[in-house]
Amino acid sequence: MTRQTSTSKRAQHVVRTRPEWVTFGVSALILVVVVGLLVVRVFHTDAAAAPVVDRPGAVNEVSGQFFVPVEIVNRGDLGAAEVQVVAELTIDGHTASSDQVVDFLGGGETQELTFVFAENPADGELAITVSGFAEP
Amino acid sequence: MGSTTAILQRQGLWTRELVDLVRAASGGLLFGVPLLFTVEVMWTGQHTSPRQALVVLALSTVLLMALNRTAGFRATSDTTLRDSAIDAVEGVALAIVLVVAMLALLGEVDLSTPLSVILGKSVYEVLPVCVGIGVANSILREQSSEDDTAEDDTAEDEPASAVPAAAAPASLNATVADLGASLIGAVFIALSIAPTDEVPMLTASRNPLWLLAIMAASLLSAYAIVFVAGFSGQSRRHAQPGLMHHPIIETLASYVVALFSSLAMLWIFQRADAPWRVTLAHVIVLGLPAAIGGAAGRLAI
Repeated sequence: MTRQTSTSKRAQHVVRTRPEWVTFGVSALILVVVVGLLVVRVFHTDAAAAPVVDRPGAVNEVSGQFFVPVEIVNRGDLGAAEVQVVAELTIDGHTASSDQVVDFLGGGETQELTFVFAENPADGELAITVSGFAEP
Repeated sequence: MGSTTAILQRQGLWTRELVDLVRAASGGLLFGVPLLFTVEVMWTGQHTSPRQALVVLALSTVLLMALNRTAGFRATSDTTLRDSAIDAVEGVALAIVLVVAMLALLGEVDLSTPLSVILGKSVYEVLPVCVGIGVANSILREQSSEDDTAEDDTAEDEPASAVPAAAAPASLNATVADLGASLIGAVFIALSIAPTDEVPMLTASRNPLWLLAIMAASLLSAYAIVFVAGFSGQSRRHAQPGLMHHPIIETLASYVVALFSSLAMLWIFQRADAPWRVTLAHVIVLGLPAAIGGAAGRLAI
């Protein structure tokens, strides 16, 4: 027997068993894949962060308030911090605006936001844009 | 007859390997769970260059190699550099799998998450988990094999089911001590997480099935740490004479303690005043690190 379950006086690891070699094989495969992906990224030129508004969802009315869900997608490879998103609803020349900040958006990552208006966006023109972000 | 013996021996080897891996995962969770609840660690990884990520992975491997020379996660000690290196590769790979699984459980990654984001979120979380894996054998109070054997003998001589009536107060004391240890361990690990924004952030918009998955993971982790990983004190836990001497009962009772302590910690930091469904979700999410801490606490008494 090559092992005992005590922690303080352990037997020496003399022979690697078949299950141990299987574990090593699977582990080596996982590491090779992860390291390979990172190496590929080393030689790949990352596109600058590009957070954009992807698609406003269906407006939902609750207690006279209009909820507008929207997805912000970072189409770049690099992350963006403090992504400022502004929504402006213009009805009969009067503009109501609302803004939100996404703390961090990794490359390719998506964040869902919801804007709330007192008036129905269907009655006017709704513009949701990313107004800026910071380099992390 | 000979082939039956060979099959049993093979099963024993696989079981021992599984126990070694569970011990590694348990050590990794004990050490890494507070940082798994820190979103800044994930953000740091996401804006780290691939070169630096490779350096972090290499550092984790070297660190694990060094730890394998003294502690490690296997029941046997590594005597050669080659064995330490092989175990380090296994430890780092296990840490990656564990971190990605925990991030998926916490809703931070899913099938739609870009691979680069998964790598970024995982890379810095792997480091503390590797440290936990590397010190798995010495993470809790050391106990000699002779002590374990003696306690096992005692357990065999006096099975818990045959505890005489006169021993009832001692049994009650043991139960109170167990629950107290669970409470202390839960507070030790979860107190630093309770006041942070991570708990509501991770809980937001989660459905009841996800919460049930968190509960199942909490129970499974606590059970594995105490009754499977082979940490010092495991045989003592099996022989525990208290009212909740059955492993499953003990795990469930300690999880209830973890949940109540989570509620208390959230209340102390004034984060338990949301509607009950939201607070319940927060309690269950905080209950994960609390259950892991509680399990370590019971092994430490």
